[in-house]
Amino acid sequence: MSDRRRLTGPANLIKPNIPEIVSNIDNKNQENTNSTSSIPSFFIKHAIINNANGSAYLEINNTIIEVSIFGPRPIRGSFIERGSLSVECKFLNHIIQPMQDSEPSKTGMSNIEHRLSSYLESCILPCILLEKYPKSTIDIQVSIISIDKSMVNSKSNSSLLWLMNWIVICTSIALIDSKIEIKDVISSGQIKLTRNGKIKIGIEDDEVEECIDALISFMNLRNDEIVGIWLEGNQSNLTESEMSLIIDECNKMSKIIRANMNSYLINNI
Amino acid sequence: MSSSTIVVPGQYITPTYKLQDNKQINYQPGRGTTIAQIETGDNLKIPIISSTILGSIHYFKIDDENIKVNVIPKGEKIIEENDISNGINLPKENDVVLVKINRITKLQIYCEILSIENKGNILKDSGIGSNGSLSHESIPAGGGSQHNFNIQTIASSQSTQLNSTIFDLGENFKGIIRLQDIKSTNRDKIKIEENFKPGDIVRAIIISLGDGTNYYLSTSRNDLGVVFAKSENGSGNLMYPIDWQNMIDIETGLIEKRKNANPFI
Repeated sequence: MSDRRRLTGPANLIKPNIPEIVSNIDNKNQENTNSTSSIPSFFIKHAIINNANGSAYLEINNTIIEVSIFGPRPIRGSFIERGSLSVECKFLNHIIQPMQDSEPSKTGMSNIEHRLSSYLESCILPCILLEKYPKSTIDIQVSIISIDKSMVNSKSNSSLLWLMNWIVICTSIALIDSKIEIKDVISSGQIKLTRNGKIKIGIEDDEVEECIDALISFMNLRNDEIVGIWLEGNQSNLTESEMSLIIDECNKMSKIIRANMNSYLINNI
Repeated sequence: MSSSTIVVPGQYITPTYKLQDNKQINYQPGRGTTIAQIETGDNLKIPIISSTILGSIHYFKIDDENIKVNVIPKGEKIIEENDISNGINLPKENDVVLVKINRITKLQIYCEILSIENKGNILKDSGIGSNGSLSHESIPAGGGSQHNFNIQTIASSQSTQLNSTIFDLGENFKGIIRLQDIKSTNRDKIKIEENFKPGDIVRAIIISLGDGTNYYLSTSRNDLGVVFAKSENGSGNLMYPIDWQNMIDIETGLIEKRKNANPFI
């Protein structure tokens, strides 16, 4: 008898008031995406570098990105009525860069770094209110501290676009931290459209079938304006309906990431 | 009138006009906001005031029909309703600034803008950190603790002109006070060396954005002029104003000529 009482507890037992477990953001993501895979959870932190006007740090799986923003600060030379922007993306020295066959050059930027930088610049330029910053320069510096192993070995393009996606997002957070005025937060979506019309997210490495990789960046609160498109793969047979499918899916992913960024920002102010 | 709703950049705050009790209320974009043309379902575009920074919304009533919308970042104080800092302090026209005199010539004074009144320093590190090009020259052998970059490798952009270069270590915005902008009276008899000396800290007002390198400043107001100065070209002690145009070093009794900012406060 006494044993059973121990199992069921005393007669006058009061149940403690435990709140229901609130589903976290990751679960929401899974519900929202109708794709085969969803966005892995990621870690963001802003204001990590005292010396910079704005900075942010982002981790997703083994990909680690750090962005620092300097400026607006004075510029020498002729009068410019709007701010000037410069962007540099750099892999740290010890990283084997994706899609890099030869040794990276010791001076200057590698081919990949140039491509990343110019995509980022074309995204950021329409977003910053440069006319508010005359006679000054804003420098954006992106360090890629670590990348996923699969990215190094893979010959696919999706890994590079995946990396670019998170660079854009990390830069957006750093821009907000710097208090530079921007029209909207940029977020982006990256997907893979296979020949048979399937949509995949992330960098899974099943390179059997031919596919198109797409990265599209948006200003979601500005009528979903597109600020950057990067397509890789054989696009010769890309139809209009496929393109609009790509844009829609990227937009969906972009909005999920944007929602996460918004809640991060509001909770961390 | 204020509220403390937090907004993120891009977030809609209010349309530029609203009907309230059958009266049109106009909203104007203030600091930290801009007007966005947002499409609605019926192919209409509505002008909406949206935020450009992360912060809280503050409404200021101009009159019964006009309300100004500002977004103020965390940690910024509202000193005057029309004069709100939004986190970044670029000098602009009519800002009162503190400058340090670097160099004087017969015609003008060269100075460096240190801070803006009510808003604080212009550079994040007050010019002592390594934000300048020197800090970019290379990544130190051990990697270094700083987020350093090589300036030569920056993917220079569609917006940057080739002849624009970044200043060196901790350099600030530069300014010029021309001879005719020192005082409002007796302009043709002014001698620069009787008004300012290199090293003086001067309160001045920005009258123009100037050229690529320099802002144009003026001290032709009673409340503008030298605030801090040391005697004997900086080798002596701190001096105190005794009237509008003289300062005294109270340890040596030396009197030097300066254009003082209003000493009778």
